[in-house]
Amino acid sequence: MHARPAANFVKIAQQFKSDIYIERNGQTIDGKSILGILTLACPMDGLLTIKTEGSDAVAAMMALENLIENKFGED
Amino acid sequence: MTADQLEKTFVLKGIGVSPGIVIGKAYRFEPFDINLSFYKLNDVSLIPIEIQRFRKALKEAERQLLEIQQNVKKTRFNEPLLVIDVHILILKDKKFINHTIKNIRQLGINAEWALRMTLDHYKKIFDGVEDTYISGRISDVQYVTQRVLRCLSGKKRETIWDDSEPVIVIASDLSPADTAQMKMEKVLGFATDVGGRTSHTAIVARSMEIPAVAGLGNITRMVHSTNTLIVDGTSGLVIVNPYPDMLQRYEEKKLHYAAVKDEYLRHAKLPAITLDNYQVQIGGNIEFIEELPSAIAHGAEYIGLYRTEFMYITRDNLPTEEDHFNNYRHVVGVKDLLWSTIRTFDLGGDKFSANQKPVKEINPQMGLRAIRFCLQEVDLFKTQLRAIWRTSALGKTKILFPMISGVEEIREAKKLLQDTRNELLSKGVNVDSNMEIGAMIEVPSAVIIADKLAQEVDFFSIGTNDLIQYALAIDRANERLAYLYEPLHPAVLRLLKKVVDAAHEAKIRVAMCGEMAGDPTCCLILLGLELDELSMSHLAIPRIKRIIRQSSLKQAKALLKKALSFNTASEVRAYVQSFMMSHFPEEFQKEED
Repeated sequence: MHARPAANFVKIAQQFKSDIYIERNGQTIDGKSILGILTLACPMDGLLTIKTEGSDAVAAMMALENLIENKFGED
Repeated sequence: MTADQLEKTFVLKGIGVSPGIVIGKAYRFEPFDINLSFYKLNDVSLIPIEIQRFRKALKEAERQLLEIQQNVKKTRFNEPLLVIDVHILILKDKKFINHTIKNIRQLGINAEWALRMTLDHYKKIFDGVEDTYISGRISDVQYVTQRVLRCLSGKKRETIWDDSEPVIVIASDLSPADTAQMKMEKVLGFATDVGGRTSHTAIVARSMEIPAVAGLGNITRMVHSTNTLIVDGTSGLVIVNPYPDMLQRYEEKKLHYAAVKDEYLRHAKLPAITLDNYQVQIGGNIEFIEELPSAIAHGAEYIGLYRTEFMYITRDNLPTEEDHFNNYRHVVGVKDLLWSTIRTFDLGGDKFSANQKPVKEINPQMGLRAIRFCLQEVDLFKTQLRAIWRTSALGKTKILFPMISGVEEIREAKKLLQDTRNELLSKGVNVDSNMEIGAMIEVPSAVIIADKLAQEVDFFSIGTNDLIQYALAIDRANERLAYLYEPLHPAVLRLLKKVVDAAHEAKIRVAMCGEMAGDPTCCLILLGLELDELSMSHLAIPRIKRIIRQSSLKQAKALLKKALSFNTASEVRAYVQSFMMSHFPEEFQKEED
């Protein structure tokens, strides 16, 4: 994932209390860590799994889904 | 390093990431010039204090970045904002912070050391990523680390150049935070060790419309803040300590570059045919193969002057036949070009880096140089001639001998050319069966005996820069004499006419490859003279072609006739200038913009 969409992801993730994880190829990283996301090296059309755990997990998931549907706010 | 080495001319090749040409003093930008001390904490009780110190530095770094971000918001240039955003996120990244704190705590080391280890940790991870974009993001982690280190040291970030001269910024790479703090109006251009088209430096340079070359390897080690540089962002070249001729050429190119408009480029490939159907062949002058794509884009139909001096200047030993050949073959290998004229070495021996004991000449312009030097240093000359012959087998090649002052010189040069040809043929090497041979006409004596020289060669190429300098006895480098340097001097016009007439009488072609060829004001005069070919700095081509396409040979001949009737240079200039401005108002108004 490129720096800009990664930054947008982290900024949204950080708004929630829940823990947010991204999983790809058996590797799990903290979705609130920009370095984590960058080093995940997910390509443009790659598959990844997002997990949210905590009191506002559903809201967090919706916000992140919304971000991804909007192509990470890139347009 | 000795003073001599500091002054040595050399060329660095990188990636042109923002077009344009700029000349100026280098400024070494070193954001990371702090002395770090790494030490062990000698008491456990110091650990919490050290962690506190680290957190304070993080806070300070964040405060600085936010401040920069606020400043950037006030400018018209918003690109750095997003990158600074990323930097702030890294600064606040829990993994990044915790890794460092863990190091302090477990290893009992100071914050600087611990932070350095965190950086190394991430370097390893990023290195393992295959995607080069991602692995390149380690630079962001580095910037953040360096900023925190600076905060730890308690040093304020330098704010740059409030009162300095405009400079060309030399750096390993530049971050948005670096450029955001620069006084952009003091920055003439950028030249960086690393980076490419998409690096931050490139983006900033393009949006500021200043030339930049990236990916130069280690320019930061080779250039000092006192050096003069030419940054050619169009061709991806940086020339360090250019010698006077070169400097002058690039000053000229710079002017042409400023005059080229995008709209010109669309028509640049059209031929230079007048309204009454007279065609002039338009060529480009180059000295580096990196200039070829730009020359073609600007409408060069052939290479009228390929200068080969750089081959000798930018290396510590003499170029081998292979070195020459490997450069030349790129030039003749370009399909879009009708032919390429390679000019043999045209400087004095003092210009070789490899020459250990150059003789100091009082008047080097009239000294042992160009063909004179080559005819004395036969082996060196033949090396170049062999390479040119070999090149001739690969594509249409012409050879041009500089500074010919008499028939003996051209005969001697031709004999050596013939010798090398025979040598190669006897070894079974392919060469062109009839490569055209030309003489540069740039010494007044050559003009006077042009009819004799015309019997010896296949074409002439007039080098106006030297011809004017020698004919008017004006040292071009002497600024106090600049007012006397006048291409439209009646004597110069008569000399040019004599050369063209002698050439056409002998039925050979005559070209011009000096600066005058690319001077829009002189364009119709040269057309009226009926020069067959005009070769110029490629940046000058689009404009010259446009003027020719709007003019007629008849009109040009009438202008020339009138110009030749005046007694003084100032009368000629005044007349020609007002003629050009009234007949081509669009072309000449643009200059005033």
